[in-house]
Amino acid sequence: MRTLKLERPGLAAVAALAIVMVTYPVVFTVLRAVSKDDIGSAFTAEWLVAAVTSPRGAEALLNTAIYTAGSSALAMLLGVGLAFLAIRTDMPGGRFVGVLALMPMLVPPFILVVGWVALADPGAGFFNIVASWLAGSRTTLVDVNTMPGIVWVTGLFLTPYVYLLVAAGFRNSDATMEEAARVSGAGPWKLLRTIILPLQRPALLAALLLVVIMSAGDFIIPSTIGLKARIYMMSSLIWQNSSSFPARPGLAAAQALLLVVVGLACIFLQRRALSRGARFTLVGGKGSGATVFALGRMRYPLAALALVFALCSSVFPLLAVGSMAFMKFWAPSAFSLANLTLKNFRYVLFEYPQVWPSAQHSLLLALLGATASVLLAIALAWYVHRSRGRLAGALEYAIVLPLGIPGIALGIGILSAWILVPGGIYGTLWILLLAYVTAHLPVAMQFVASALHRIHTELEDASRVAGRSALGTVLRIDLPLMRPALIGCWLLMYVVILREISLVILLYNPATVVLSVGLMDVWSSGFYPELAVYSLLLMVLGLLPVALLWKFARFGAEPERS
Amino acid sequence: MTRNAFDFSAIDRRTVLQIGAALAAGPLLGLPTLAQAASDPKLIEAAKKEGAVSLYSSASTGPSNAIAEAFKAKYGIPVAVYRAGSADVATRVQSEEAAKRYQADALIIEEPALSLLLPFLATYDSPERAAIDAAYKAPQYTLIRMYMSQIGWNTNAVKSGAPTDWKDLLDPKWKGRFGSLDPHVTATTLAWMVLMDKLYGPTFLQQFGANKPKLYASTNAMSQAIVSGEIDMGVTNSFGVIQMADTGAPMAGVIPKNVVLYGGNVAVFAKAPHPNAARLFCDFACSAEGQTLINVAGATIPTHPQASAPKAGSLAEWGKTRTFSQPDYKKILADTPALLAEWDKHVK
Repeated sequence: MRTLKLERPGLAAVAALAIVMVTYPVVFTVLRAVSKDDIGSAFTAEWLVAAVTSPRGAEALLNTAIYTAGSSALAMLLGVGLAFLAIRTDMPGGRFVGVLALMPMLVPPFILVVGWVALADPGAGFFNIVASWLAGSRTTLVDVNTMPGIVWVTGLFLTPYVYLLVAAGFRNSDATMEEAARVSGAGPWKLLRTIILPLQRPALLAALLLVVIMSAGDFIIPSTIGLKARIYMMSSLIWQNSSSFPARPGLAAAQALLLVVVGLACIFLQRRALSRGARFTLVGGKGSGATVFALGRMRYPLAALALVFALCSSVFPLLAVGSMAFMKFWAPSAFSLANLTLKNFRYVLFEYPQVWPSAQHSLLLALLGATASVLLAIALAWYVHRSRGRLAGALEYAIVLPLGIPGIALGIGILSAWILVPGGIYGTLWILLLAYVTAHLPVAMQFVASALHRIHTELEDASRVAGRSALGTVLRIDLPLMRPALIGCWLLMYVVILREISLVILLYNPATVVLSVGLMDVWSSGFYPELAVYSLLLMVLGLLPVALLWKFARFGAEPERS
Repeated sequence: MTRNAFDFSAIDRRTVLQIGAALAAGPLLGLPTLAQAASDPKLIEAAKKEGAVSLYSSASTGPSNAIAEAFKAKYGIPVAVYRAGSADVATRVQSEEAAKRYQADALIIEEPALSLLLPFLATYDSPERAAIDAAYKAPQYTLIRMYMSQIGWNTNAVKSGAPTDWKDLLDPKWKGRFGSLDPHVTATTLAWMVLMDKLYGPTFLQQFGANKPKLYASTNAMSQAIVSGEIDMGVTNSFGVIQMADTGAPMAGVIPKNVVLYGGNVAVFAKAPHPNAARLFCDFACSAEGQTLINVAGATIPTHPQASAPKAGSLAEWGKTRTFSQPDYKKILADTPALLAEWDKHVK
């Protein structure tokens, strides 16, 4: 019953452009995977065959599967659990937990890794040093250099994505249905199982899709802890083949295509699950009076559990990183007054070249990029889920492609295309903006689409019947209802753009340098104390809009009462 | 992100203060008199008319900016620095050359990326190169900053029985307690493997692998791991040890008798948009003055006999007690698949 046909040529053109924008870097990757040398040379199946038969290929596939399943499951459990506890229960400190659950998002992933090594390395980790001291002999309590260790770190890192996606849904879910279930005698568990979670199906599926693709394609863990622990994954192989001399870009591209296939399979499954569950996804406009679950005797134990998570995901690693920032050199044995210094702050904030111009560029790009991504995602989500334009199916598949392509490959694709356009945007800030939007649109799209799914078309129909135009309906009905999700999405885009690294390294120019170029420089050639200060700077810049917009987004505790 | 482990990574710093100190020390070292041997006045004039240089550098920020700032101070010509890992610099140059969008004037990069970019470089015999030994120059490029492979350790963990030579790494007492770079992402490690094979034969790699090194993607990450106590020691390089020790960290090491000599090169692009300014920059980077600056900032060793970077020492001094091995990168590039297969067989 789609009364709201909005297949305007304008929207179709935006959809077509978006498809081109996210597809051409992938086309470059495909071409590279089937070309003997550079693109344009003879075709070959050599790389594709090698990707499947290379000596470490089978091992890497198995490891990737375990790692992806483990970290996705952990992120889903923590993200959904915390969002539910913080928003729909009377757990004490819910708001606080909500804030802390989002903190890992602000931390550049490197530094989360550095923080966890500082906590849980067998030789240099605090936990083990304390355990050894208590036991009187060398004791390894926890070891981050293992499969469970990396699953743990990645799961924590991905939790905010899940939290943000489902928290908005928990907040404005339909109270009348819950009311009806309660009146007909459903207990809290039944309510949860039959009403609340099914209503969140679009958000849960979107979250699952994101964390699966993001963990399968993650490069940070494989190139740090994974390497040390000799746990090779698909992305380790891609990284090695594109970083070695001579690089084997054909093989790396062929391996990246495996990740693309995973992404496409995920979106296929997501679509099927959503189409079967469509009738569960209706949500009315009124969000008031949603059930608040009384936890009873479990209140405090659950609050304690949530607090432990918060300590692990952000407080401990941030304490480790925060203390590094004040040390001349970093070692667990080096906590002494003699090793205390402010020179890292002086160096990064005042002596490091171009830190302020690059901060300006980064802020501008993050503001523009986040805004553009969200607006574009709204238009595209409307096109796919409401006006069901002719390109809707293609768009839905195309839009996940950038998630499967490593950042550096995406950067090469964008570079290769725009460098050929005379004049054009090569070498300007605009190419960075384009790159950011291309890379992060898939994530924005999942947020907006899952929020749009929750709004029943009856509301839009009513608006239309009352004489509003399609655009007016979007502005007066959909946007206000999606507000928490949209603001959450915007904040996420803002912080990921601020810290995005591998994508921009080939695209920036001395005149358009951004903060993450400095982050990469300090990471590869500086000391951890300086990396810590640089990360703190990024976090402060990331926190600014979060603090400003918090009131409006309200992912924290109390249910919305408007 | 860690792909540029191959660069002068872990080191290259550092602060304006140190650079300032080097500049201040210039007169003491007698640099102004040396600098007179310099560039053709006509070149200087033409360069000033062009008014800008674009430098693509894989040396990290400290040394890259030290030389850029000093060049600007001396000639009033601003240097725009594009800095990235050597593989990324190579990719970018290859893309720009393929699209005929020439943006780069001068290049500072190390091997084996340099070999990939040779087709795009101009031959230029800078007058400043006259004093530099023939071993450190070729028609298209000049080595200006060198460093050596070495063993570095945490002085809190390694008190007695510290290694003195490469084969000490095979001692079972260090089993699982030392680090190495991963040759899959750092070609410098391949050069080291080739030297080990030459010195000790194929059993070295077998025993090395059996002693279970922990792998790291960059010198920097490994230095941090040594200092924090993750590992006791590692196969690292001279500038990494010097700079870490400079922060007050418990870091020391030994440079064995036979070492690999690595280096960073300066070159001029054949299609440079500012050809004269590019040449003038190259002159400056080769000169005793320029080499002093960039090597002090990076704790590396100059090739100009009159340049001086006291912390890193001089090639003449080191040459008295060490045997340098300069890798044949053309051969290493060709042998990479075989070398990596050999590595994978033993280091699991």
